[in-house]
Amino acid sequence: MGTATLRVFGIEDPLVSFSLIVIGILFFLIVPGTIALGFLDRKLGANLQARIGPNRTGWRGILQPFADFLKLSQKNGSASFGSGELFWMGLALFFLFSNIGVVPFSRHAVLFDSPLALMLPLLLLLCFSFATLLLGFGQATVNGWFGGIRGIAQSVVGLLPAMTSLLALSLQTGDLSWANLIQTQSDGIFSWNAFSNPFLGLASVIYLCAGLVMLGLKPFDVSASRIDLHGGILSQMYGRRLILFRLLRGYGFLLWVVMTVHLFFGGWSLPFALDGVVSDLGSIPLSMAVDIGVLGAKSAILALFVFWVAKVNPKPRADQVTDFTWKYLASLSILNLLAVLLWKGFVHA
Amino acid sequence: MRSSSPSIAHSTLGYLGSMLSGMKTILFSMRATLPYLLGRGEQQRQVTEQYPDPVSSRSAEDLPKKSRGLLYNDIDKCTGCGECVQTCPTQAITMLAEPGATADKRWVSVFDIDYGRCIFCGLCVESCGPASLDHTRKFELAGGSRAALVQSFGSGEVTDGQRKKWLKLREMEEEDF
Repeated sequence: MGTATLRVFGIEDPLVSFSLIVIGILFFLIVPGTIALGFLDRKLGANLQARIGPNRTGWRGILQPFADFLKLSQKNGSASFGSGELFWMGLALFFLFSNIGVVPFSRHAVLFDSPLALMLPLLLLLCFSFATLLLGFGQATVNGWFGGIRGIAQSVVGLLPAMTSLLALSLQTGDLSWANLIQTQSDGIFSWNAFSNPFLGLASVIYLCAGLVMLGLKPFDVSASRIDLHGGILSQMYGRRLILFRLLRGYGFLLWVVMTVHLFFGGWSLPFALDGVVSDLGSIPLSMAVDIGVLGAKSAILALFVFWVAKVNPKPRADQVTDFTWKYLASLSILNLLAVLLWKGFVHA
Repeated sequence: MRSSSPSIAHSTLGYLGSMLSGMKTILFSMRATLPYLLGRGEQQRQVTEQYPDPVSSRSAEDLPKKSRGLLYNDIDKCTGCGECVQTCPTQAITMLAEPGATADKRWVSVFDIDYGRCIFCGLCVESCGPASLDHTRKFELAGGSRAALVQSFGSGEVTDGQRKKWLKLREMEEEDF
């Protein structure tokens, strides 16, 4: 399906077209999306905390991410990378490029599908989390070491609720393929998984929180805690390494939010059963633009809720994060799985 | 014998209670900050003290009244007594003074303040008898070298010829007296 898109632009070779789609997604969606998320995080965070936020670079500080990029790119730091850092970069970049290929951003760009396709981003995120452990170990400082340990602890605890929520979803859709997922959610807002089954609504919250815990993102970013770890895994990151680190973390967050929207909130489908209208637009680029716009808007709203909760609540400690995940997310996800099963049986009966 | 372990029902209620309490806290915090998200909070943007520049439309005059900015020494008032040099805790002031044209006035050839050392404590200003040394409201002195951080107020070196003239003037003054 994905390569059919580029035949519109006259490119026949499937490998070339696949590569161009991946590059296009990276440079026109992921990088700008990460930049926008980073800016919104600072600006909205400032609003919520009665501060001003960036306001010097450009109109209302809109060029701040570029100023930060220019500043950081001039800081070279030490020339050599430790073996841990090299592993981290290799694994993290593997995760980045692999996920571009498996998460669709438009109905015309589903590059890969299989009955277990929805599991792939989750498994690739585990690689990313493991990479964080190697980063921490590779820094050869106590702060980095403990930051890495915390990161992998979070990944381990976050995996169970995330997997269980995905299994609950698979009970609703039948399998874990993109085709099935898109098909079941294309009939208006009440066909979206979060609204078609109240327990899948709870599963969506559990899935989102579990992902943030696994990736060590706000508000669960204890592996980079400043108070007790003096920065943790961030303590040795500066200059261009920090740019790469922030890009990857931002992409991780963007990916998880997009996945949550895909799995539970209809992906690119419009709320009033207008999908047929989009499909009948007659122009693939226009249809792709609408899909990306809808997906982006939903992801932005979900990201806003995450920022909001993270900025106006106290930051939890490392033990509080793992306690919360084990005691609440994991146990609720298992109960929720049973509830979804019972609901489906009851509704079908 | 009484059992000391809580019942399952009690534990479950406690579990649900703590979950609801957490959700309530999060919802309350979101409700309290909703006006700020929409730009209508009562204390919107009040926490940040903006840097004085054209963007913020604030100037050095908006700084607090007792702000201790860069120092200025009115060298015409300065008697070269050296109290400021003695008082300075970081030895940031360098001064060279010699007898001038009159007995009561010394010529301050060198008066340098090194802002690489100065901690802006204000003790030199407090100890200045003739009140020639004072803080200004300037606060920007970033430079590209350590030498650029030294501010000079001295009147400059004096030639031997000038020194001899002054000596004669002082002797004449003493004779008159």
